[in-house]
Amino acid sequence: MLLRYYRRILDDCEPYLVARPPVLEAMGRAPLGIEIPAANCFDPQKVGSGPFLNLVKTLDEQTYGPLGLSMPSWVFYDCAIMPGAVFGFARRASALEPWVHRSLAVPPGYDGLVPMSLFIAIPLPDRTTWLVYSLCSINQVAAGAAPEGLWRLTLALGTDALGMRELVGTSRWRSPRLGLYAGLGPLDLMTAWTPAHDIPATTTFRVVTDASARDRLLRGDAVGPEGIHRYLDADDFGAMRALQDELEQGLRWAVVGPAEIRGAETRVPLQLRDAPADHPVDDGVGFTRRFQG
Amino acid sequence: MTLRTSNDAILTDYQPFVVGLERNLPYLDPAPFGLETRWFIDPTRRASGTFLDLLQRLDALTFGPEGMPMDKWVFYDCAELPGFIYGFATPAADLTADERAVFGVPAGYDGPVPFSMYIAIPMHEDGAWFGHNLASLNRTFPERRLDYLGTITKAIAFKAYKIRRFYGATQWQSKALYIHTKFGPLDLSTTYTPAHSLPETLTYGLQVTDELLRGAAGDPAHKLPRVEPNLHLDATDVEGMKRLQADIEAGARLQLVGPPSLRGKSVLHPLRRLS
Repeated sequence: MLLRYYRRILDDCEPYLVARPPVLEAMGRAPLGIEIPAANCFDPQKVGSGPFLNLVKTLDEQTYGPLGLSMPSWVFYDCAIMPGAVFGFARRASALEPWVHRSLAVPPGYDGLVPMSLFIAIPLPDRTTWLVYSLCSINQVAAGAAPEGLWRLTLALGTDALGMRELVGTSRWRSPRLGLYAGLGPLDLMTAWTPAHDIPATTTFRVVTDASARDRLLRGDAVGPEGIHRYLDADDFGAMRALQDELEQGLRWAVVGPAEIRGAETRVPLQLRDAPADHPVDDGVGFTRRFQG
Repeated sequence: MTLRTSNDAILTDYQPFVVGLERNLPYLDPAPFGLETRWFIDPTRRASGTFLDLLQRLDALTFGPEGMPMDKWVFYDCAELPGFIYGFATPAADLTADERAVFGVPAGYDGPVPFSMYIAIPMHEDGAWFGHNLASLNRTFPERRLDYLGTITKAIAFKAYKIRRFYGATQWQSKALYIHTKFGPLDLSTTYTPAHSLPETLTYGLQVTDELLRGAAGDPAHKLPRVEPNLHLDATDVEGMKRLQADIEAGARLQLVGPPSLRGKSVLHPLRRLS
């Protein structure tokens, strides 16, 4: 039912997986009922997987390279496809327009699958929580190359395929990716200001990824103003540091929706978890939202 | 039982540290082989920033300008959040002025300064971990007599991470293979790896036991059994790597059974074909 609005993606694209056999055996091969054909499952340790994996790397590089976050070449193997897995959607090279071939540097004569989206995650020691460090779709690189909603559907199916109960992620405060993740539910903040990262204005968060969360994400539910206690200005480093101090003192803040944008101002809605019902809210809570992601 | 190593002075003169999320610490042995961890560094706290910068410096000093120093986000996303960084450090007050300058220790900093680290991250299977960085400064500071620091750090880190099955990847021409092969015969799962940026990469696995770790650390009471090779691979023989890879994909079982050796101008790897 929820997938009916994603029909264009499911009609045009095929799901794929990259994982070692032991990971593949443990993964769901029909996330949300969408069957992943055996021919679309790639073992990263086999030579024959090389051409497709190169295209996966290219999509990741095209997305994150301009942000100054290019994945070092060895990281893709050592820190992604060996410990974890990649899920995404792909299309046949022959079905793509020439300009899309150029965008992704598809080699001449290649007639296999071309990745349109990817979701890379690796487990934490509890093996039920996964860290996501790549989530992208070709629409970020070549707008219009694939149907709208690909990002969202990739995240929903990726979390189901990997059987993750909780997701840990990082995002820049200004990134629309943060709003997409918030579609799963409240993002409990682990950091608001992160000196351990090249870009300290990065937040680290965790979010439950159960069936209800996926439904919320696919529906695009939004939290109303009644769930918001404060906004964070996504360009205010001082406010991020202050929020980080509060987190280190034990307060539990969560991002509860996509950023609201008005003119040049971006503000991220926050909720103090476990706050009493009459907890005071900041002035100006609730004006027109722009839905992102 | 106390651990004996090839250089026990490291265990008395330096103290262990661990970088990891607080939520991950229940999965760590805080006293591997009875060696208490002195410093726990939480990467999500602002106060950890200086130490994490020093780890990045340790990485750069180890691998030099020709190496590939890790960006901070790689440390964060590919080590500190999912896994652990274990190593040996000493308080900044123990460093000479020259050493402080080499490290770039900020004025007024009096916390630990790392001299080695080993990074591993959990894999999907319980007990399985992938190691991706071993750094040590025995060559940078020879006067500190840190011989075997890398191997000792790796062996104790394995125990701290409770690793039962270990995986790693490295290049056939890497000197790191001298250390990796100290841990016994390595099961090869790739000998030629197009998924890696350097296809001349091997991927190996290893069943981990306390006996093996003690032997690798240099405990004279725990010598690792020697396995005889029945073939050799030249470190530059790409066609040979591809042939062996085809054999593996067809079901062959191969092991790397010792460190590389020089024969004339060639570097040869001793392998054993099990099936």
